[in-house]
Amino acid sequence: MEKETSKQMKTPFQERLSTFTDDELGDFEARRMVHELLESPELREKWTRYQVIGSILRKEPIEALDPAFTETVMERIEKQPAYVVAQSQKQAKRATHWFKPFVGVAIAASVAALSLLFVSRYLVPVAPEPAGPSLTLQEPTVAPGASAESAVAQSEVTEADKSTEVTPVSSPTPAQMGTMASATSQRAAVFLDDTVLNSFLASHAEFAAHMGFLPQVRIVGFDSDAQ
Amino acid sequence: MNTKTCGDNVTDKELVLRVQKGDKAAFDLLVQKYQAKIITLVQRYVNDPSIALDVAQEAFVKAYRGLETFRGESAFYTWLYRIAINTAKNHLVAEKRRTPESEISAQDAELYSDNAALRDIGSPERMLLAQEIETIVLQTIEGLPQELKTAILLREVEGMSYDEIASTMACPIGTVRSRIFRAREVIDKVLEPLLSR
Repeated sequence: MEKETSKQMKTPFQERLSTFTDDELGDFEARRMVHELLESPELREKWTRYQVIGSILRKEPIEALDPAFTETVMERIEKQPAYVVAQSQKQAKRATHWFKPFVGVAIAASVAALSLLFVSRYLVPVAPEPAGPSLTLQEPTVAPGASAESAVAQSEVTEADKSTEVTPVSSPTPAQMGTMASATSQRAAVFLDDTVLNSFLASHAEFAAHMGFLPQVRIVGFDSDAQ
Repeated sequence: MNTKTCGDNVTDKELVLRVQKGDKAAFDLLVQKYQAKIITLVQRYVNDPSIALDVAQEAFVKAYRGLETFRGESAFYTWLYRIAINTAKNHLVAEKRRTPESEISAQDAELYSDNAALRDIGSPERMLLAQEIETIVLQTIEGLPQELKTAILLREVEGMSYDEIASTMACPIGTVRSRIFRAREVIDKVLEPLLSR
């Protein structure tokens, strides 16, 4: 490659133009030739004539040989808004891209904070039960001043006795839901203390609010005061 | 035949880069390089030569506008080729919609008034000159020494690379380069005064 380039350097300039016309010039020399072509109108004319020779030999349409074609295209382009302007606008647009992720994070954080406030409002402790932990399930209610879309499902199920049985109020089929609730409450009794469970449920509510699922979820709190 | 596709070369990349930086003259070179190929391509779709010229020019203008988004994932010529085909097809669709009785819209009227140079291309004088150039160039090629004639025909008509021509003519690649250049120089001496008329 280097040998080839050095050979090309020794060849006469006009011959290199001919080689350039055939896309057979090395990369470095081709770039240099582009520069020369843009600098020298005479060289450009010669290059155009080389192109015309090729067009005639390939029997390309006679109309294609007229240099007025290029002039007309350039005239039409001149009437277009300057390319540089479009380019700089794009660069300006690109410059604003870097802070987009931060805006996203800021929005997500705001939504999370609002959700947390919203959830904490509904996690007000219920009246203490004499014995055993209680599982609260809040039924949906429309918050004052809030739209219907942001209504939070709110229901409450209190474990009435010391047994670990839980009967969800809103369950469609008590038999099925009873089994699930039983299993859940058993797990809760064994693995979770009140603080951990409430923290988990609050996080869940945040996520649900962020994803736009809020109207469909029920906010469940584990009443720490019940014990 | 030609292993080197036109367009995937450093020349086009360099020119495209320059255009993207705002150098319109670089686009002028791209137009010069590909105008014949694009006009030939468009003429496969559009029969009227003067309309084909207009469509080809429109394709170049669209390419210029689109260069902003061109990332060089394909060769420039492949990209330009697609633009030209789409422009020609769109023209045909628009042509079908346009009834002979329909009035020319303000936009069309502006387009027609912009094309004074295009009408000039299609003028009988220009056509006559082009035919004259063609005849003289072909006569000059006929009068070339055999090795020069073979070298330039293998390159320009058959589209062979210098390597392939060297193999075919059983000579070094430098000789091929030199023969093609000499052939061009002989033809150019005849062509230059004709084109400057």
